Amino acid sequence: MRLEASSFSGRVTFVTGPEKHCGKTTLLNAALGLLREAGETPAFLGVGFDGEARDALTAARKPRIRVEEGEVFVSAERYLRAAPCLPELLDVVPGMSALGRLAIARARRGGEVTLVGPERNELAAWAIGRVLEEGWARSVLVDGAINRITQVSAFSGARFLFALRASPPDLERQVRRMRLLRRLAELPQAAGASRADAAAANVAAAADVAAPADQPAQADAAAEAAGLPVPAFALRGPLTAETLRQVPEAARTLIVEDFTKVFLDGPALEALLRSRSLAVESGIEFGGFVVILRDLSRERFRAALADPSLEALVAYNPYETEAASA
Amino acid sequence: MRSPSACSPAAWDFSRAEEFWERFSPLSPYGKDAKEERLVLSDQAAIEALYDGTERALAFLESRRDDPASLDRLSYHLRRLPRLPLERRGDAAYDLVEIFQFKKFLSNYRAARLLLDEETRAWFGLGPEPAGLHAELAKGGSDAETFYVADDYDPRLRDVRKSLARVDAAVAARRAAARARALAECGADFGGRDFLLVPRDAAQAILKDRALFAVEPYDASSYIVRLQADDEELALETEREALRQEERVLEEGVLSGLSRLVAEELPRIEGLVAAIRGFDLARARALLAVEEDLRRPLLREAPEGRLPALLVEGGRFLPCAWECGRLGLRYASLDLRLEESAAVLFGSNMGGKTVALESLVFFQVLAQAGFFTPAARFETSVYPRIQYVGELKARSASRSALPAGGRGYVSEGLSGFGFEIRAFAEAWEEAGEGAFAVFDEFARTTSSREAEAILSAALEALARKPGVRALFSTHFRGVSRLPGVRYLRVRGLDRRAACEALGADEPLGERIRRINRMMEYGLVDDEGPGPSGSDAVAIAALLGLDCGVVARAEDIYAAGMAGSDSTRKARTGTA
Repeated sequence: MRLEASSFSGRVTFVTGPEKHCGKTTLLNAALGLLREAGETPAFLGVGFDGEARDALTAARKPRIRVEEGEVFVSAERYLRAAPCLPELLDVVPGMSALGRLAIARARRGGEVTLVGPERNELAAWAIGRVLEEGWARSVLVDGAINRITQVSAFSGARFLFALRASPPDLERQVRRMRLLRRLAELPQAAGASRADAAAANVAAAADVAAPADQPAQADAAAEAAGLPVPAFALRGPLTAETLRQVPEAARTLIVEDFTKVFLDGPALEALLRSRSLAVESGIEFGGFVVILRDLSRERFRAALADPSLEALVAYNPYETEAASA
Repeated sequence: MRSPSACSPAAWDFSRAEEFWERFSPLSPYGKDAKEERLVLSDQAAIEALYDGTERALAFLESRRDDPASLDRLSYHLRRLPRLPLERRGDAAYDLVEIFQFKKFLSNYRAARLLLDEETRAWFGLGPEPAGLHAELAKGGSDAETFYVADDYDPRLRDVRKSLARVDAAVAARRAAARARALAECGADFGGRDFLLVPRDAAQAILKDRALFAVEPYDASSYIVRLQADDEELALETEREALRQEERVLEEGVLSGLSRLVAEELPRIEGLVAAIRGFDLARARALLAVEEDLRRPLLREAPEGRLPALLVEGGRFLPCAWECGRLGLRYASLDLRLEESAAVLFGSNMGGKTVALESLVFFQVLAQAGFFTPAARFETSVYPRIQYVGELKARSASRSALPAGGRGYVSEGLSGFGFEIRAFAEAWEEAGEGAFAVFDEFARTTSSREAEAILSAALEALARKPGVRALFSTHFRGVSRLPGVRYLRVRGLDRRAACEALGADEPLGERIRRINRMMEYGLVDDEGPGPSGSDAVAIAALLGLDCGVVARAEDIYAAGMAGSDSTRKARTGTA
């Protein structure tokens, strides 16, 4: 997989990752660079606060984020006031963050910025929606919070890239993580599984009797339309080891809202998939992995993946020079 | 403590007013805040003022009937009004975001106001925006809504920013030259990147030019390489930092000046906020009046404590009418003229008496919340309190966490009966200054004889209480007949049609629809024994109760009615 401007142009892309210092902000900067070279003026925002010069846990120097004239970003009032990019305020994000009010701003000249974004998914979605509705930018990049892919599901139509670092001690763990995420992102879609039959429910309410069991019928119809076995069961909320125990024994297909609602580890997921089909009501587009290797050659990494179809989803560190990629 | 609203939470839930409220759509944050208060008023003058405002808004909407685009623009500007920091803060300055919000408010307020006619502006007190402040804020921003501290505020800002632009251009030129040199001399292509990872074995040329490159190890096989700033670039950076400091001081001065202007105009801006909130709410009420064909209620005062008649003609209980529409069922409107201060409504289960009570509370709640009502005519009085005692189904998650009466007696270990009596006592206590009080199947949790005794006593007491309009529904027919109390019943089931349908083998949903079609929901005076046979038994048959059980129930009911009728005549002395 190659990272190109067209991968980000005209869409909303979340950059997520499993842990601190995994390369999310570096990837954001690389994506911004690609879009700028293609002549675009993108918008970008973070989730929560990520503006320290050094990582709080590792003390490693964090990448700086530069905004160019005309680009749109989100930050808190105190950082906007100090920002050298002469920000012009476009709108205010509802509510208050821990660092004060957040605003959407357009840079009137280039300069470095501190990103402070909404911590709640729906407010991040609100800010993205405003940028697109008003035509302030056509491409939006979101530097996501670590280990919170659920935020991607807040904005319909968004896609996500997963950044991770691999080095010899954690190579196997990272490969397992990639396999699990790919498996989840490729779950089949069974749309409309939990739509209630409103008319039947209302008749039941009028009669003060128990609601007819139409929801299973919806789930079955959705599963059958997706070519999955029935009976099916639509689970609202997270799929965990605990909620899995509440799924009827007879259900041959389990349908969750989207893959971010699955909180099972690899072995538990594999065990589930051996006995049942698992599907999602809403698909979330997965753009692939961006892998930062340290003390690890690509050959060794490829060998650990041992799966050409998985490697096809991998882009390597965008800061490596051609000479380093042999 | 009594809620600031005249309507108890239980009465609100019982009336299903929340379903109506969901369609009430003010657009500004101020209108939305007012909506969230769910205020039901007890001040007649205040309610009439809301009606007058709705009429004014209706007249305005009608005048723009041929210009829907202007109404869309009005909605657009109302929606974009921001929430302002209106609290007094002494000498503290407003920050950048707050100044932006004032500008955005004034810009949208002005645009909305210009779309209104003079009469509407005058009615709602929508005066002109503070022109001086608006003009001053308009200097900062590339359009009417956006804001930054623009050069126009201070000529020194223009000079500083010109210098900054010169320094930025010089730095950019030096970096571009450095990138070009890195590519030409070492093959290092930075593109838009601020660093590169270079394999150690390919970095020999880079390592030799430490004036151009900053190099640090990344891992065992590669280096992180950055372009090094030279002395001239560092000097430019120093100059830029000094210019930025100067710029910041000038910007703070501009923000302080703007803050002073805002603070001076704050009382006037508060007036504009109140005015636009009033208009926004009236507009939303008027739109609902048009959509749902609502009419202005007539609020009558109570001369010498004597309640005027409660009159409903063609009353539509909208939540029920909407539900019937969704289910393809017929909805029957309600007509009632009630001169008496108290009434008892008899009817069988599923016979519509609760819906009739819900309808009356719904109309009363809407009227006291300042809405027109869904009735050809609705005449009523304003009551200090609207109350409900009875069973509640959880309808609106926000408000019906507690059962009717609202103090959580169930959790205190009271039985259903104990809870009912406590809820009644609460209602009695609060009805001191007058109330519109509704009791749905009161005392249903005890035996019929005891229930009839308690109901009769409660009815007698409430009928005598000045300023109280009390409405009871019950299926206990032995309630005392008292002077000054009206006795009504729901007309009930069309028995002939019901008998013809008994053999039909239909799914439950269709049976329910059939009951609805056969039920006559009008209210009639209940002046004696009802029609022969029991509606409840007939409904049970329609819902699939065993035929033998139904026939036996009919026999027992008929025998019981004969007995209770003679008892009732003996008790009331009627022949």
